[in-house]
Amino acid sequence: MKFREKWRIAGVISTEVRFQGYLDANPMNRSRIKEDPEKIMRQIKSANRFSGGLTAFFVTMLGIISIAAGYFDTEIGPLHMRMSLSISLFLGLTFILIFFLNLMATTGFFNASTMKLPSILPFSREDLENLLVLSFTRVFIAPAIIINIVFPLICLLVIGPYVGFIALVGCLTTTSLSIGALIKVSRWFYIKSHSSSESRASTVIRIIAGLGIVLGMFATYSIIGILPGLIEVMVGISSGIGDGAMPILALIFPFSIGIFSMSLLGGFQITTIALAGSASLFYGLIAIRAYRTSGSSLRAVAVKGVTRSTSESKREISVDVLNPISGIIRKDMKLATRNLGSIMIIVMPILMMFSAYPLVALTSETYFRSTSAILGIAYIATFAGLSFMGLLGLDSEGGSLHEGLPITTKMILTAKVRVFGIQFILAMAILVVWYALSNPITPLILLVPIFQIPVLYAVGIMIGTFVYRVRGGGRVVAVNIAGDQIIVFGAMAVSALMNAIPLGGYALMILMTQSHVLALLLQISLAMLESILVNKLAFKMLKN
Amino acid sequence: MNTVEVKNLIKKYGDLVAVNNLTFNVKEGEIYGLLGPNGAGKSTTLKVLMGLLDPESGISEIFGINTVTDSIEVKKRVGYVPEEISLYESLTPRELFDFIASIRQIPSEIANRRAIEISRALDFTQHYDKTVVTLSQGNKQKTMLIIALLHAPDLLILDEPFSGLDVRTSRIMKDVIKLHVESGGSVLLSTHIMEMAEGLCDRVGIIDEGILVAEGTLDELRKQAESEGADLENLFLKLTGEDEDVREGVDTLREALAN
Repeated sequence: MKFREKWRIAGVISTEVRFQGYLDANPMNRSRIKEDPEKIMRQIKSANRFSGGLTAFFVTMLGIISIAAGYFDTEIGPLHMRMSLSISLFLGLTFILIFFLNLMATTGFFNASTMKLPSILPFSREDLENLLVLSFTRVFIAPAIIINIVFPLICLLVIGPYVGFIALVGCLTTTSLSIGALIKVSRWFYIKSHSSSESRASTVIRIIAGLGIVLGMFATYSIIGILPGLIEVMVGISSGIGDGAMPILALIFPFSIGIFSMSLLGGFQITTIALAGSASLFYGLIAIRAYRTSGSSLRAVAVKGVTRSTSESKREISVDVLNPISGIIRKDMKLATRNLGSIMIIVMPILMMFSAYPLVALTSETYFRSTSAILGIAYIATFAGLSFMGLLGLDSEGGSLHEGLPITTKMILTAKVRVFGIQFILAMAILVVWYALSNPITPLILLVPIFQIPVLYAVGIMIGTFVYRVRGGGRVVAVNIAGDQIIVFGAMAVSALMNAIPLGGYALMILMTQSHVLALLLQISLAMLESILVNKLAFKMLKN
Repeated sequence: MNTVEVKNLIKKYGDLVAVNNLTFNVKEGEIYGLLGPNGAGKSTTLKVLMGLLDPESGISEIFGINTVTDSIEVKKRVGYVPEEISLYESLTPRELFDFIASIRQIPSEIANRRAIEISRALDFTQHYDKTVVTLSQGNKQKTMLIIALLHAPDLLILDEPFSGLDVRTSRIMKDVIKLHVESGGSVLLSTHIMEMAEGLCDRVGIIDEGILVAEGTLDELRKQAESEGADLENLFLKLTGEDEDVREGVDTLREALAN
């Protein structure tokens, strides 16, 4: 078969991979695809374009900022040290960027159906294997090309052809290493997330793995803002340690090609040059090995698929009975930890800290005042409404079960509120720590997030009631966050309103009396009253 | 007391009358088949009986319990298999059965025994720990059947239980229905597979455009249609007035294929 033909077919497979990755990202997408398949396909295409554009933007920004921070900030150590650390940091961050930006798409590769169609067509086994490798290449071709062109070009223009060439080698090495790591981790995550192991440890592993991955994504997006500071800190530490710092860094930092590239321009000791050279060679060899094993890993998937634990099929048939609400929670936790999209829902209130930080920081100058505290809580609690919607959305697949089961609406909402409670309390606890570290004007400010906790019951039950009334006529219904914007904004408005009542009471009391104690008392009273009222009234609006 | 009692039931979707003044009952220990063409109102009737839809008017009761006002009590005593099976695809049957037994509060020992026995009987044990998404249509149907039987319900409501099943699974489904009745239960099923209804049901009700056009045993239907010796398929076509349409359709097709 001609390469051109293979390349074209690989394009079809890589589209399918993206599609499977999209479906795998969130269980709700499986229901949505039946509603309006053309719209979903358009969304996938635009999401891919957006993802490609975003990667290009991030890499370009990362390259410009790294070089600019090292080249122009003359106050922090000598040029060769600044530049070597800048290039090394760029390579390290590029590795993380490729890894996290493409993780979701890669899990689609491990879906057995990806190779279903080509495997029934008249292809030889070798052709089939090559097709998979090419398809994988096509998924990453855009970010890979951008990384390997943009940064070496910047180095070439700013520093010169020699550093530009070494930077190119460094970028190629990094690309290979990150794709190798990506295949290994996403394969591992796919197996873990689709594991049916009953043990609690397995669920915990899935949550931790998912949490790490999701937080990693957000950290990657946020890193550009702190890059110059990071370079400054690293140069500062290296200068502080003295001559020994660079050889050690050259050896232990996995992207020491940056140090090697600058070391040959002069300024470093011969030991540093030798160590950086050896380390670069070593990482280069790992990259070659990663490239080779990536190929064989993919070929194994094409031929055999992803095999899961064999011990699972040997387990005895048994039924583990809990009380109904615990049963619903266990089912929800299993569903939520089997794909990255759902994990995102679970950790959303915590992720909101990243976007709330600049907003809150802007309002607090010398002291952290109650206005900033209220703003932080209101922001995070409003988005927590989305998280509750996500929990409701977990039921979009199991319609047949719910139709025949004696589950009351109250039972479902209570179970969801308990899960939501953990998220909400955790988010408020993080806020307490954050506020404590922000020089609060009075320690009583730390109680504002804590006294907001009782409101979580009212928030959860009222969002559930709102969704069930509007979309289910009072009956349990699963709503898709991505597809039903009106209901999503409605849920956020409900969440904002429920949170605003006790926070508003607190603010009003502060304005009237200047007393934090009275304000806090009013806040918790309103929060509890709200939850009692909601418990009394909301369920009357719902049907079983 | 009848197991199922439906009287003058009316259910509308906007201007469309899906179920129009429907009246029928299912007796204890009986297999009752609800027959009708696509869109006749069979599934709607079963959904009203499960408390999933509110009717405009009429009575719908199961074991004397009003299905509109007390659907939870109804669901405790009924095993329901809907037409379109939608399960949690990323869970395994084991995890689904854990969920069902927890909701229904079936004592562990009984749930274990039933799960083992039913899974063995349905030749399902090897699929116990596979994710639902990887199961075939037949095995998904078996999963749903185990779920419906796990609490040993008094009544089974099955919406098109034979559609999309292979011969073996159809046979298993048929045997499960017979066994359920032999052990004192009742069954209400909807189908448009006439051979199944003929071989399985004690009585059938034929509905068309939401109206019950005929009801009774096979012999009673023959009398109503004045067609002695006719099988259920022909009786169905005659009673729903579709026999003429079918004949015309076949003639047109014959002509089209001949040219």
